Amino acid sequence: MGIQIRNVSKSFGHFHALKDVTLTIPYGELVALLGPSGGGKTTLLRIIAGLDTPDSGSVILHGQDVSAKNPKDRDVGFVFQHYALFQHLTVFENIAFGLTVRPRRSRPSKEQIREKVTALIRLVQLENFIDRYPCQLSGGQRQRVALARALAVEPKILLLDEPFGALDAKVRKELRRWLRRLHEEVHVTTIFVTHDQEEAMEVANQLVIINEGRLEQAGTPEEIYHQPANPFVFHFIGDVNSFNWPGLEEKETVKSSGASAGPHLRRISVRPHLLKLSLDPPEGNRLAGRILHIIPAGPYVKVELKTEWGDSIQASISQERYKHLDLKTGMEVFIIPEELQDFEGSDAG
Amino acid sequence: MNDPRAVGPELKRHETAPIRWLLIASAIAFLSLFLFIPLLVVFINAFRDGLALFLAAAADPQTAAAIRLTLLVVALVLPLNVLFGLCAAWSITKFDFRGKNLLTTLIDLPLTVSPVISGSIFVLLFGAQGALGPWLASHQIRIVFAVPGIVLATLFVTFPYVARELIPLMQALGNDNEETAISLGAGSWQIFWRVTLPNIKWALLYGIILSTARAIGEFGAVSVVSGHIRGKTITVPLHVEILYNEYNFVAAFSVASLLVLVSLLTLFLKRLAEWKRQQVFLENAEHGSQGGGN
Repeated sequence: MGIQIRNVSKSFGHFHALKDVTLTIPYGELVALLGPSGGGKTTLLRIIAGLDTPDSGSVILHGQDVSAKNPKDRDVGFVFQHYALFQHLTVFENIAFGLTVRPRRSRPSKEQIREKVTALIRLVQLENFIDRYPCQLSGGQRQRVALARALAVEPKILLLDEPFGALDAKVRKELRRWLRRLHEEVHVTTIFVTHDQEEAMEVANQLVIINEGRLEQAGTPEEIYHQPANPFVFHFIGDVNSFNWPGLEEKETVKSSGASAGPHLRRISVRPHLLKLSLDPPEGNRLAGRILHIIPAGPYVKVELKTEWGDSIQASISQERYKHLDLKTGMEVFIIPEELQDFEGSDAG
Repeated sequence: MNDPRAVGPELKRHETAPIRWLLIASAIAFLSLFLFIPLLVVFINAFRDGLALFLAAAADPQTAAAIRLTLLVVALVLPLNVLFGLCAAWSITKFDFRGKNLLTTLIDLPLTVSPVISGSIFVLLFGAQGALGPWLASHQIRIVFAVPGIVLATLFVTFPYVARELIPLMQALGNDNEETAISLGAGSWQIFWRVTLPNIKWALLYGIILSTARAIGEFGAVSVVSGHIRGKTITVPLHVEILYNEYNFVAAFSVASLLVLVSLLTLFLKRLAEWKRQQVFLENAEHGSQGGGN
């Protein structure tokens, strides 16, 4: 077992950052802690690293209870959101830091340090920046220095707090792929915090969804996307439309209640790509909407609509379908959900 | 974390030329009246009767004794100020504890209290009629009207400077660097010398310069506890006053010009430290802003 977190709770004053979190992360995984900002992800990461102590519960790393151990004795590498590079040290010195602070007995020789740091610099592709200072590097380069510095001490676990949060979109995408490759190469159990679900899905093998201090769901990206455990996860992962739908049992309802003035409405949730748009009225229940705006750029065409019951929704349709229907702003269309999520009658709105 | 240099061009656009010149002219007039002219007067008076008399006044045994005492006081006060400043800034910025705000406020107290009162505190505590006076007298320990009193009074007046410079910087820097060092296996001592100190060294130097300048020039508090014993408890500023009161103007201004030179040197060093500190600060600000919101 890699990391076990047992019944961990933590509050700051009256704020409950974590509420009874229990979680197991297998050895060698690449895991994303995903959730809205302020949900407790970073606190959990800091507790694993030993930078914060939980009010209750325990942390077991590789079969050993480390709850009472200092951060320096946990074999954990921690990378901060803003990298926290040592400004007065060069790239080389930053990466070498963890090796040079070891007690003399276990400290590698100068030659060994040089060898090791050079290898790491090659791994993070910064060969030409060895003698630069952090202020002379770009955001992505700084992030890679921070990673190499954490890896230099050969941690058993690597913890990354919003590793791409401070980078612009393009660098971010590059670094995501790079982090995956790096993980395949060094294979150290890695947990990273993110609030970006796309990032989490793309990089991690395992997702852990945390919201308001609670563990909502843990599983593979596929499981979490297709079998969300609760309304929160369903709404948090991927885009979701929630709107009033003239109930499936409309006919029966109307029949049983006699002459009803309007159809029986219920609230449903559907992902944008599972909404079909049609010009012809469908069989059975009908929901009409007016097209407010069309965004045709991209692999899918995004159509923003207002339903006859006043809900704003967005549908993603293929380019072919868009051309076939010849949609225009202001047109009236029928909205047909192909699949809807129901949490045992709970209102997911 | 605004770049202070950005203010200039901003204002230029808002003010019309005559108003701008009026403001600059009045600032220069004010500085001339209160700074340049007095400085000039000091130097003119010091050298009025020629360089020989100036050198004689500076080499006078009484003056030499005063300079020695002042240097001794600085040498004793400075390490304590650095130590206290580091401890106070460290505890205020790195830990959460009860009474933290009170401590932060109290650090400023010596700057707001009149120096006369700062001196009187020690007379009331350690003087012959003071709370601890009889006990000290029976143990043959002299504090007031002796060197220890001068050191204590100077210490009281100068201890806020280092802490005041360090606290805002250390708050802005946060704990990320230190926590990184911890997770990389560094001990407390290594973290202080290899991570924290390099980050704060220019602010620390700035604080040291300010507190040294104040320690050399302190008059009020020292005057109260000194007792004015010639050749024993006279610091340089007190010596200037004595010479002046004795109508020995050339000597008074000669010694005063030494103090002025120290101030000018301080000003220069201060500017240098400030410039370096700002460089470091801007670098950090740039890093911080990379992150956007947090």
